[in-house]
Amino acid sequence: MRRLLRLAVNDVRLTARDRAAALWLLVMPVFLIWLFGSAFGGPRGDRRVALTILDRDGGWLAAALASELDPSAVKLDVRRGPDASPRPPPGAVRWIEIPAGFTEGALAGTQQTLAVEAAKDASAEGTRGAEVVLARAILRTLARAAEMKQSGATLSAAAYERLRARPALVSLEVATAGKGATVPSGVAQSLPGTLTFTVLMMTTIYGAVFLTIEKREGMLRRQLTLPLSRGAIVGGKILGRAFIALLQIALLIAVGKLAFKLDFGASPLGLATLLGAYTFAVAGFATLAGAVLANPEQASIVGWLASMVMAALGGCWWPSEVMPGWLRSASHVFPTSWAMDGLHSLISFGRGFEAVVLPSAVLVGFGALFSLAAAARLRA
Amino acid sequence: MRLLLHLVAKDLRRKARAPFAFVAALSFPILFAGMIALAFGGGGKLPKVRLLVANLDEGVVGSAVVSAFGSPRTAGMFETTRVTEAEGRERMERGRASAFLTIPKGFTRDLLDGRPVTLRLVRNPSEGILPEIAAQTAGGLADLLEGARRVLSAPLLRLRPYLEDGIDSAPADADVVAIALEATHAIGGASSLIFPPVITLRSELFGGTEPAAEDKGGTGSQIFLLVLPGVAVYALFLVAENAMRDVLTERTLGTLRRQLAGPLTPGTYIVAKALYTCVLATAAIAVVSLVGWTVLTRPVSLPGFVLVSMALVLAVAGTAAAIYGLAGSERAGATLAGAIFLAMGFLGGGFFRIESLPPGIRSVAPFTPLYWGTQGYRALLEHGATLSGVARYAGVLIAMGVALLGVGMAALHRSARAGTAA
Repeated sequence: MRRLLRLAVNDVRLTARDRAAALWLLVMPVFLIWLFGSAFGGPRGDRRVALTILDRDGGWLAAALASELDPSAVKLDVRRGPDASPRPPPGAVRWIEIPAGFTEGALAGTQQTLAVEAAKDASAEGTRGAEVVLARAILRTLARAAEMKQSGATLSAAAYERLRARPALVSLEVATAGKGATVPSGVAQSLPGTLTFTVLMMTTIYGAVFLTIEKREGMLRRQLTLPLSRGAIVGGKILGRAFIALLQIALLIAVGKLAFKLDFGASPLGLATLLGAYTFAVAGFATLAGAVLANPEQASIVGWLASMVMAALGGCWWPSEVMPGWLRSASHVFPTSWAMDGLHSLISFGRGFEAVVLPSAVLVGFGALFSLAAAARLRA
Repeated sequence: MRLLLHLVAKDLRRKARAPFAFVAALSFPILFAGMIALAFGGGGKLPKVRLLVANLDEGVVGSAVVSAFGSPRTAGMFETTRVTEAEGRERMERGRASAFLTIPKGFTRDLLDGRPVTLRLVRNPSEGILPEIAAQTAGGLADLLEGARRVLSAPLLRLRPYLEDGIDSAPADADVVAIALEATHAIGGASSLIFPPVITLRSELFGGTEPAAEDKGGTGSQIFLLVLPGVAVYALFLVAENAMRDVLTERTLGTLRRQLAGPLTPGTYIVAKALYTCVLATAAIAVVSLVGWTVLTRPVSLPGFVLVSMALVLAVAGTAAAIYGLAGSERAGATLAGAIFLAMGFLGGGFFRIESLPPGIRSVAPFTPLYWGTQGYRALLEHGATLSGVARYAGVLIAMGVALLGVGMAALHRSARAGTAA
């Protein structure tokens, strides 16, 4: 065991001596967390879509329609008067034009058609989201206007506001399963995936490249002449990689907690067990790749390729719910899927240790399989 | 010139003997784009929302809400399963569905009596898109029920006794007539607003427009072509990096010194490496394009494609030369290249379409050659751009390529000379 540890410490020391490793292992993952988090709504996870109303009508029905747009779903910017004229509106991502004569025409029964228009670089998903919000606002506006008309009340902004101020008769209460915390978004949503992806990528590339360099430069041959079994050498390499991966994980969790105030669930033991098992699987895979591949170029490219494929199919880059069911099941041939299952159970559902027993056991199984294969294939 | 060609040919022969890294780099964009087409293909549709419904109401409105999720308009979006409240909670805790809707007991009665009612929806926290669809649809239903209840208040009140639990007698003819009159009166007052709706939304989602040409069908092959440009350009940088790395590898292994001991100047050696990198990158483009061409559904401007490709070859060779020229060692160069390419891949729209990135990141993207390469190919593939349409992208790539190649070759020249002295 002492020899194993000595080999592992040596591996860590060699990595630490490489200044570029700090960039890869520590700076890059934090950058990726920020980047993925920004893509999913920023640190605060603001997922509202930007929508500008160009109110060229100025009537009360146009104002009523704007007021019905759900502020929790859209970042609204209403422009009236001369501000509503330029087209496309400067700085707007997507917009609706309410034409002049809208209120008068609609109340007289003349068909009014609205459309959400978008800038060239606006996201299509955001535009569809804005359309859904607008459709619901139209429904509410028409229902209240119909109620006013039916009751014979004067059609006015004040009358409309009185109807709108009443408590809702039918409401929808939305909660979240598990401990009922809000659905993670922004950095909180991206962190489990980014952590899983970057630990896999950095460990695999670095582990495999270092091992192939050791083979090329004859260092491994020298190690194999020592009174150590092949298994002990492989064990030392895996332990060394696992140390680095654990350091990376600790840093990412610290950044998540301190910089982004993220909640990692209620079971630190579950989190430690799961990530420990994942580290073993990933370190085993890195060592196997280094054992099988011939040179650093191969190791680097295979490291990239394997980690990107496993991360994407494992649900690290996008929610796995968007994949067909068969692919979701098939993706469990990769350790990333099991790690993501466990992380979601802990972080998203707030479950306890029992939720990570199966994923952790499978990950340990992956680690054992990769380690045995690495020991069998390692040649100087 | 002959010496130059001889050197390039030697490197190409060497690459042909050990093509693994080149083939792997080339397989990356094809595999990645194929994987995304596989994940998001299936006719371009999202998988159905797995919705659990516990209908604790025994009235008609509760049943109508359940039926709404199976209506022709929504049936393609939802896979609805009726459950008890306990079953629903248990399945949600295990993450077995996207959302769980509960229609409370007495929903119909309370609604008809004008008492506030609440539909409850529980979302799966590990999913993002599908529970949102369930929430928006359920929210729309709540809006519809509220509107209908308020507009049809009078006839519903008259109908109320016949909807009471346990009452199975039908209304008398006179009552039916009275209810029908009330309904006609209620709707008639507002019919100019709601039959048909006086305000409509023109959108692909809600009808009224044809799908955009590129969205028609939304097949896996179209998704493949949407993703391919970004990842292919990224892979091209990997190919160039792999080729240019040779300078420092040969310096480390001592083969550079041996080569320079002959009638070969460091300048010729570096130019040959740059040329070799360009040849490899061109071969990579040819292979990936061939794959892309097999799934192409509309013509692409060949001159435009050649222009963007050649400009991109220059830019990737320049970028790799600059990185390895400025790096002190092979390992540092490889690390730096990996970090720069990965950052470019994410910031420049290689892995995510640039429109889906936040504005802050989008403003950084044009500083990366990857962005101009990706946008150039996208203009050709998605917008049918011609030679003049891609001239801007090619121009920026050429400018970046020339500048980076100048810096890189000067630095590599110095490095090669240092290798001779070492």
